[in-house]
Amino acid sequence: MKRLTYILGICILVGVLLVSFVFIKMYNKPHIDMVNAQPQFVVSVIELANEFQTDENEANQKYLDNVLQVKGEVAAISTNNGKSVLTLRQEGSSTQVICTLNASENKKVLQLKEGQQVTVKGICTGFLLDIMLVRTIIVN
Amino acid sequence: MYRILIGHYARENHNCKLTQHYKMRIKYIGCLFLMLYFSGLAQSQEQFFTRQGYVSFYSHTPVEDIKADNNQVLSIVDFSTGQIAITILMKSFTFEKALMQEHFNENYVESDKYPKANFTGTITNLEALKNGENGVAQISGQLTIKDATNPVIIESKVIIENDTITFLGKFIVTVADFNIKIPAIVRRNIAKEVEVSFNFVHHPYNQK
Repeated sequence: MKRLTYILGICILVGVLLVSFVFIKMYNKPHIDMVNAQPQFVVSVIELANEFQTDENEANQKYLDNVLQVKGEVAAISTNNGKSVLTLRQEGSSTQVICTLNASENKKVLQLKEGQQVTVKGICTGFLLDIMLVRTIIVN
Repeated sequence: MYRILIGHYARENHNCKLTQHYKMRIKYIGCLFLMLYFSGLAQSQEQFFTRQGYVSFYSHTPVEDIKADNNQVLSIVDFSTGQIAITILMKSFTFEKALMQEHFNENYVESDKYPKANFTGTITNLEALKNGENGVAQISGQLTIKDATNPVIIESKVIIENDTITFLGKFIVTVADFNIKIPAIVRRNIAKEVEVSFNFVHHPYNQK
């Protein structure tokens, strides 16, 4: 009888530990690792702008929450509430791509100059006057 | 110029009624151009906007604090009429924890279905604000999140500098007003009232 209580006790203890372990693991699930993330789409500023202007809903379905690799020319570099923001443009399009950069990119951004060609990787969040990317990293 | 035109037109048609009509039309078009010209002028002076406005929200409970921020908000202010229009992409809110962001997007605001939140409002004390009195704008408007629209009254600090107009402040949003259902299991983790802060640095519309 005593032995049964022991076994039961250990079982419950292990169970509780396991549940809390899974819970903590889930609770602290990390954000997507942008450095190693494979881009689902490789596009230029103009291609993106055209698609969002032609049919925003369709473009939303295609691109939202996906990792995009975008190539363009640096139009502006700024900071907004402690985060670096990179604006990309391309000749022939008034719509730009606004990228909020990951904190890891703060050093790289200092080396960029306006007018330079750059490739970035970020998660698309939608379209207002411009196409928005978050958690963006600079590829080269 | 249009007298010559009309004369020519009248000679050709010998139709007085039609000439009258034509004359009216030219006058009307002239008026329209004038209006367009002046409204264009007014627009370039009085309309301000930002593509990178900042909005954050903060939920405080004894269990945990949740904060998310978004610096990709579009805001347009027309200082001649006092009207404000703001559009927020829900997916642009970033959280400290990936799980919170997932829950926010998938369960609470359903950002796939409702990707944008909107605010339209009017500055009710525009004249006082323009005269430089105390620098606080009273804004009343409608906030739309998901499929629910609710009236809100916001007090915002306004800083007018050389060519920028900054609006900053905070207000309270009641979660239940916007058809956001919080499951019982996390009810103690998420506040019923969330504090929304904003900071918009507007530039003149004709510039970038």
